[in-house]
Amino acid sequence: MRDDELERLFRLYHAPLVRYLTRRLGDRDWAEEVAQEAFLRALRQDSLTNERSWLFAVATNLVRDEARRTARQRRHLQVLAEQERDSVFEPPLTTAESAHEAAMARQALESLVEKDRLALLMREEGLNYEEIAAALELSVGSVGTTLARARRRLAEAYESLQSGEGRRAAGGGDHDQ
Amino acid sequence: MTNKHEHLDEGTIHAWLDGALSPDESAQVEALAGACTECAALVAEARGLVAASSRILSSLDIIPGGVIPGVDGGVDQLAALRARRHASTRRWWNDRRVVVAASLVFVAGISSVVWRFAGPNTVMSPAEQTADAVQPFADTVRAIVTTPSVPATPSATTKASEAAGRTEAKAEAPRPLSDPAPTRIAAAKVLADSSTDLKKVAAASTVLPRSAGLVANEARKSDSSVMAKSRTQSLDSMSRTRVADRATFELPLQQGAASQRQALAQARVDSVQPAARPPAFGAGARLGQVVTTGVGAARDAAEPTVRCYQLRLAAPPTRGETSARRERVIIVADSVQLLNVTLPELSDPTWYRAKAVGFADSVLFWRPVDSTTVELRSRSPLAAAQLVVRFRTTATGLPLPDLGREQGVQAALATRILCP
Repeated sequence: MRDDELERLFRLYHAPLVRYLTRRLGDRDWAEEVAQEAFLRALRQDSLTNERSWLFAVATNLVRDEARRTARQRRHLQVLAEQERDSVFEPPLTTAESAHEAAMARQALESLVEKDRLALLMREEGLNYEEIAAALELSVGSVGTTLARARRRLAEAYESLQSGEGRRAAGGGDHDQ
Repeated sequence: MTNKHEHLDEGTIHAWLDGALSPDESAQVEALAGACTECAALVAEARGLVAASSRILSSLDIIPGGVIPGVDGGVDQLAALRARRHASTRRWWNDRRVVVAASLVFVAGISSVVWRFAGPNTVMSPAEQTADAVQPFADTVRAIVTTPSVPATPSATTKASEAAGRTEAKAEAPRPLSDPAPTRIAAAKVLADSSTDLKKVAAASTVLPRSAGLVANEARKSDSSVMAKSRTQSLDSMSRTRVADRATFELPLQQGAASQRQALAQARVDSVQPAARPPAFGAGARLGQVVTTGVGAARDAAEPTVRCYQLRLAAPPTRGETSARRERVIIVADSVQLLNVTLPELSDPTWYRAKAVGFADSVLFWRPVDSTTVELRSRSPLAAAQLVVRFRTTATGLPLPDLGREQGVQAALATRILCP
């Protein structure tokens, strides 16, 4: 792959790929590493017919393989990374409230089955139904149903978590809803 | 596409909202959504699910809000990728020093064998022995040590270099292979030029293996250090990108996410919305783009940027509707932008101006109810069409029924989006 092709590929897909991986992994540094590896593998290809779905599929597989190999180490590193992030970098809007929302969102996302979760995350990054089907080895016709199920379950899980938080905050009282 | 009752199924609705259906299928879905009230409710619900899931996922992004994305945030990452590519594609056998050192070791070995079998009566000098020993490899070595940077015409490529598989290497001048003497001289010359130790090697071949071994080791060390340095530079570059300017790097992500959500929301609206927008706010109406200027709460002081939201309004209950039915009817407002302009015509300084794109005949204004709640009102020429809606700026995208209990006040679900 030539340099100009590399630059085009990178400028088109690096940001959405990193965001997809960050949402999937919950760790920005790890997401960047996986994205770099995915691009490196793309560079070794002479040509890619469907480059976006190829990149997302490779990144997904890299995450899956790495997670299988080093699940325990990853958890440890994730804790360290979070501690480091808390001590070094605090985004202006990452308040306790938004952090709490992010934690609930992650919990809701993790409650989805893997296929639904990945399809939803890929769709959020702009992949069309054909690309999602290619990356996840689904039929194109089933992507709509998969996304509908994923969105509904995500919203329901999040709502359930939030209502549980509300009940706890109310101390189990008879707050009028 | 439809079930036995001719209602749209959920997957088809989501595919339609995502723009994944063909024009014919889209027209069919649109017709059904317009003709069937239950289908329309399902569409509205699916639209709400799309917006809610996007908002939930966006909260996973640990990105500061209200910051302007950098222009070339990914440049360092691209440079790091190029460095990694270069490091990963470089091979040790492509390194000139390694090739020269390996050739010297090989020559030394051959010389040693020749010297042993020729015996002490041999009249050839050590240099000649070396030249003879390297004859089969002379052209190959010459081709290797002559880099492509040496100017050469296409016709200068020798058959020897082609035979050695080094098509990119060029010889300085064509030499006939049938004449061994010039070849030996050329080989010795090339070897002598390629290493400062070669004359010592030719003069004392017994020392050669050790010298060549040292050269090879140094070459390997050098190569390793170069590789390590390259990796270190690559890691340094990545580290600098993440640590020193992390916020800058995160900006494109935020921009991409927000703009993408905005584009998707707009695309959904464009695909569904009829050509003529509703003239005013109200049940079943689309807010369109509401532009609001105003900072009242302390939270706004911490967030000095203009904020935009996507609003979904619960339709007011109609006669005969059950509460469960009412909950399902959700009206989507595309985007709301909060501006910072006070309203001089009002004596109350807590109100700020709001403007709705696409609703030129409506004047919008808003005020902070508390630190997290905003009230938005429309002052339409038609008093009956006035809208009073409250939403939380830190809304989670889920219903807030306690906000809509007051007379004429509707609760809205707010999702923060990138301002248009």
